[in-house]
Amino acid sequence: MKAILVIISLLLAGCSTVVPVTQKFPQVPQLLLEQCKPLKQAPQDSSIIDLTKVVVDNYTQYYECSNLVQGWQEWYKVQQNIYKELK
Amino acid sequence: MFEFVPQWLFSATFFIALVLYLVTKTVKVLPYAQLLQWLSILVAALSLYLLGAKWRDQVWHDRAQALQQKVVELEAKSNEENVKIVERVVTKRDTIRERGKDIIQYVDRVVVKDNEVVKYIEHCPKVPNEILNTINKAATP
Repeated sequence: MKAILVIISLLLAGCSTVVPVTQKFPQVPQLLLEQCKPLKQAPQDSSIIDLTKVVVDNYTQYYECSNLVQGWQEWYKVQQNIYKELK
Repeated sequence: MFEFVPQWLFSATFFIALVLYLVTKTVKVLPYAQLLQWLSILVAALSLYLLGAKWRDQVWHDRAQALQQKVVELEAKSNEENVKIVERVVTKRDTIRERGKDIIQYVDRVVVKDNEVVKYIEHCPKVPNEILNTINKAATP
Protein backbone atom coordinates (compact mmCIF):
# COMPACT_ATOMS: atom_id res chain seq x y z
CA MET A 1 0.00 0.00 0.00
CA LYS A 2 2.86 2.38 0.95
CA ALA A 3 4.61 1.60 -2.31
CA ILE A 4 1.45 2.40 -4.23
CA LEU A 5 1.12 5.74 -2.43
CA VAL A 6 4.75 6.61 -3.20
CA ILE A 7 4.31 5.66 -6.85
CA ILE A 8 1.10 7.72 -7.09
CA SER A 9 2.85 10.74 -5.51
CA LEU A 10 5.80 10.44 -7.89
CA LEU A 11 3.54 10.11 -10.88
CA LEU A 12 1.43 13.07 -9.81
CA ALA A 13 4.59 15.20 -9.62
CA GLY A 14 4.45 15.10 -13.42
CA CYS A 15 6.49 17.43 -15.53
CA SER A 16 6.10 21.15 -16.01
CA THR A 17 6.66 23.73 -18.66
CA VAL A 18 8.27 27.06 -17.86
CA VAL A 19 5.96 30.08 -18.20
CA PRO A 20 8.13 33.15 -18.82
CA VAL A 21 7.48 36.46 -17.08
CA THR A 22 8.76 39.40 -19.06
CA GLN A 23 9.96 42.49 -17.24
CA LYS A 24 11.03 45.48 -19.29
CA PHE A 25 14.04 47.60 -18.34
CA PRO A 26 12.65 50.70 -16.59
CA GLN A 27 12.32 53.76 -18.77
CA VAL A 28 14.62 56.67 -17.99
CA PRO A 29 13.11 60.15 -18.30
CA GLN A 30 14.44 61.92 -21.41
CA LEU A 31 15.44 64.90 -19.26
CA LEU A 32 18.02 62.84 -17.38
CA LEU A 33 19.62 61.77 -20.65
CA GLU A 34 20.57 65.35 -21.46
CA GLN A 35 24.32 65.94 -21.47
CA CYS A 36 25.95 68.49 -19.19
CA LYS A 37 26.95 71.58 -21.15
CA PRO A 38 30.66 72.42 -21.32
CA LEU A 39 31.92 75.21 -19.07
CA LYS A 40 32.30 78.66 -20.60
CA GLN A 41 35.71 80.09 -21.41
CA ALA A 42 36.66 83.65 -20.58
CA PRO A 43 37.48 85.60 -23.77
CA GLN A 44 40.93 87.13 -24.12
CA ASP A 45 41.28 90.73 -22.84
CA SER A 46 38.28 90.28 -20.56
CA SER A 47 37.60 92.76 -17.81
CA ILE A 48 37.10 91.63 -14.25
CA ILE A 49 33.34 92.08 -14.79
CA ASP A 50 33.34 89.77 -17.84
CA LEU A 51 35.36 87.25 -15.90
CA THR A 52 32.90 87.41 -13.00
CA LYS A 53 30.01 86.72 -15.38
CA VAL A 54 31.79 83.72 -16.87
CA VAL A 55 32.47 82.37 -13.38
CA VAL A 56 28.81 82.88 -12.38
CA ASP A 57 27.67 81.12 -15.58
CA ASN A 58 29.98 78.22 -14.89
CA TYR A 59 28.74 77.86 -11.33
CA THR A 60 25.19 77.81 -12.69
CA GLN A 61 26.27 75.18 -15.21
CA TYR A 62 27.78 73.09 -12.42
CA TYR A 63 24.62 73.22 -10.30
CA GLU A 64 22.49 72.30 -13.30
CA CYS A 65 24.68 69.30 -13.98
CA SER A 66 24.72 68.36 -10.29
CA ASN A 67 20.92 68.54 -10.35
CA LEU A 68 20.87 66.02 -13.22
CA VAL A 69 23.18 63.67 -11.33
CA GLN A 70 20.95 63.91 -8.26
CA GLY A 71 18.00 63.10 -10.52
CA TRP A 72 19.84 59.98 -11.74
CA GLN A 73 20.65 58.91 -8.20
CA GLU A 74 17.04 59.37 -7.13
CA TRP A 75 15.83 57.49 -10.22
CA TYR A 76 18.16 54.60 -9.44
CA LYS A 77 17.03 54.35 -5.79
CA VAL A 78 13.35 54.51 -6.74
CA GLN A 79 13.72 51.88 -9.48
CA GLN A 80 15.74 49.65 -7.17
CA ASN A 81 12.99 49.80 -4.52
CA ILE A 82 10.36 49.03 -7.16
CA TYR A 83 12.43 46.08 -8.40
CA LYS A 84 12.78 44.78 -4.83
CA GLU A 85 8.99 44.76 -4.51
CA LEU A 86 8.88 42.15 -7.26
CA LYS A 87 11.15 39.73 -5.39
CA MET B 1 2.93 19.42 -25.02
CA PHE B 2 -0.47 18.51 -23.53
CA GLU B 3 -1.58 22.11 -23.07
CA PHE B 4 -4.63 21.72 -25.27
CA VAL B 5 -5.77 18.34 -23.93
CA PRO B 6 -8.50 18.85 -21.30
CA GLN B 7 -7.77 17.66 -17.80
CA TRP B 8 -10.96 15.62 -17.57
CA LEU B 9 -9.63 13.31 -20.29
CA PHE B 10 -6.78 12.14 -18.06
CA SER B 11 -9.17 11.73 -15.11
CA ALA B 12 -11.45 9.69 -17.33
CA THR B 13 -8.67 7.43 -18.62
CA PHE B 14 -7.46 6.97 -15.04
CA PHE B 15 -10.90 5.88 -13.79
CA ILE B 16 -11.47 3.67 -16.82
CA ALA B 17 -8.11 2.00 -16.17
CA LEU B 18 -9.00 1.61 -12.49
CA VAL B 19 -12.34 0.02 -13.34
CA LEU B 20 -10.65 -2.24 -15.89
CA TYR B 21 -8.10 -3.30 -13.28
CA LEU B 22 -10.85 -4.13 -10.77
CA VAL B 23 -12.77 -6.03 -13.43
CA THR B 24 -9.71 -8.11 -14.32
CA LYS B 25 -9.24 -8.84 -10.62
CA THR B 26 -12.84 -9.88 -9.98
CA VAL B 27 -14.05 -11.45 -13.24
CA LYS B 28 -12.03 -14.63 -13.59
CA VAL B 29 -13.36 -15.78 -16.97
CA LEU B 30 -12.21 -12.68 -18.82
CA PRO B 31 -10.01 -13.48 -21.87
CA TYR B 32 -6.52 -11.90 -21.81
CA ALA B 33 -7.09 -10.93 -18.16
CA GLN B 34 -3.38 -10.71 -17.38
CA LEU B 35 -2.67 -8.55 -20.42
CA LEU B 36 -5.61 -6.24 -19.64
CA GLN B 37 -4.47 -5.98 -16.03
CA TRP B 38 -0.97 -4.78 -17.04
CA LEU B 39 -2.48 -2.52 -19.63
CA SER B 40 -4.80 -0.94 -17.05
CA ILE B 41 -1.87 -0.38 -14.65
CA LEU B 42 0.11 1.23 -17.44
CA VAL B 43 -2.75 3.49 -18.50
CA ALA B 44 -3.53 4.41 -14.86
CA ALA B 45 0.12 5.29 -14.24
CA LEU B 46 0.34 7.35 -17.42
CA SER B 47 -2.94 9.13 -16.64
CA LEU B 48 -1.77 9.94 -13.12
CA TYR B 49 1.52 11.28 -14.46
CA LEU B 50 -0.22 13.50 -17.00
CA LEU B 51 -2.79 14.65 -14.41
CA GLY B 52 0.09 15.69 -12.16
CA ALA B 53 1.74 17.50 -15.06
CA LYS B 54 -1.46 19.39 -15.79
CA TRP B 55 -1.95 20.38 -12.17
CA ARG B 56 1.64 21.49 -11.87
CA ASP B 57 1.45 23.47 -15.08
CA GLN B 58 -1.69 25.16 -13.83
CA VAL B 59 0.02 26.14 -10.56
CA TRP B 60 3.01 27.61 -12.43
CA HIS B 61 0.75 29.31 -14.90
CA ASP B 62 -1.22 30.97 -12.07
CA ARG B 63 2.00 32.07 -10.35
CA ALA B 64 3.41 33.47 -13.59
CA GLN B 65 0.18 35.33 -14.27
CA ALA B 66 0.18 36.84 -10.79
CA LEU B 67 3.81 37.87 -11.24
CA GLN B 68 3.13 39.33 -14.69
CA GLN B 69 0.25 41.31 -13.21
CA LYS B 70 2.58 42.66 -10.53
CA VAL B 71 5.15 43.57 -13.22
CA VAL B 72 2.50 45.60 -15.04
CA GLU B 73 1.50 47.36 -11.79
CA LEU B 74 5.12 48.13 -10.95
CA GLU B 75 5.77 49.46 -14.46
CA ALA B 76 2.92 51.91 -13.94
CA LYS B 77 4.36 52.85 -10.53
CA SER B 78 7.78 53.30 -12.12
CA ASN B 79 6.32 55.69 -14.70
CA GLU B 80 4.54 57.66 -11.95
CA GLU B 81 7.79 57.97 -10.02
CA ASN B 82 9.57 59.10 -13.21
CA VAL B 83 7.06 61.93 -13.60
CA LYS B 84 7.69 63.01 -9.98
CA ILE B 85 11.48 62.90 -10.48
CA VAL B 86 11.23 64.95 -13.69
CA GLU B 87 9.05 67.53 -11.91
CA ARG B 88 11.59 67.85 -9.08
CA VAL B 89 14.56 68.09 -11.47
CA VAL B 90 12.82 70.69 -13.66
CA THR B 91 11.78 72.80 -10.65
CA LYS B 92 15.30 72.76 -9.24
CA ARG B 93 16.85 73.46 -12.68
CA ASP B 94 14.59 76.47 -13.16
CA THR B 95 15.51 77.78 -9.71
CA ILE B 96 19.22 77.38 -10.48
CA ARG B 97 18.87 79.16 -13.85
CA GLU B 98 16.83 81.94 -12.29
CA ARG B 99 19.42 82.42 -9.58
CA GLY B 100 22.23 82.55 -12.18
CA LYS B 101 20.34 85.20 -14.17
CA ASP B 102 19.67 87.21 -11.00
CA ILE B 103 23.35 87.23 -10.10
CA ILE B 104 24.36 88.31 -13.63
CA GLN B 105 21.77 91.11 -13.43
CA TYR B 106 23.14 92.04 -10.03
CA VAL B 107 26.63 92.27 -11.55
CA ASP B 108 25.31 94.52 -14.36
CA ARG B 109 23.21 96.72 -12.09
CA VAL B 110 25.18 96.93 -8.85
CA VAL B 111 28.69 95.52 -9.06
CA VAL B 112 29.74 97.61 -12.11
CA LYS B 113 28.72 100.78 -10.27
CA ASP B 114 30.46 99.93 -7.04
CA ASN B 115 33.14 102.56 -6.31
CA GLU B 116 35.80 100.07 -5.43
CA VAL B 117 35.13 98.09 -8.62
CA VAL B 118 35.10 101.24 -10.75
CA LYS B 119 38.46 102.25 -9.30
CA TYR B 120 39.83 98.78 -9.85
CA ILE B 121 38.73 98.77 -13.53
CA GLU B 122 40.22 102.22 -14.09
CA HIS B 123 43.47 101.04 -12.67
CA CYS B 124 43.36 97.61 -14.31
CA PRO B 125 40.87 97.50 -17.26
CA LYS B 126 41.80 94.01 -18.45
CA VAL B 127 42.59 90.84 -16.60
CA PRO B 128 46.06 89.60 -17.59
CA ASN B 129 45.86 86.91 -20.28
CA GLU B 130 47.98 84.58 -18.20
CA ILE B 131 45.28 84.50 -15.53
CA LEU B 132 42.51 84.08 -18.14
CA ASN B 133 44.39 81.22 -19.80
CA THR B 134 44.83 79.49 -16.45
CA ILE B 135 41.14 79.82 -15.63
CA ASN B 136 40.18 78.60 -19.13
CA LYS B 137 42.51 75.65 -18.78
CA ALA B 138 40.74 74.64 -15.57
CA ALA B 139 37.38 74.94 -17.33
CA THR B 140 38.50 72.56 -20.08
CA PRO B 141 38.06 68.83 -19.41
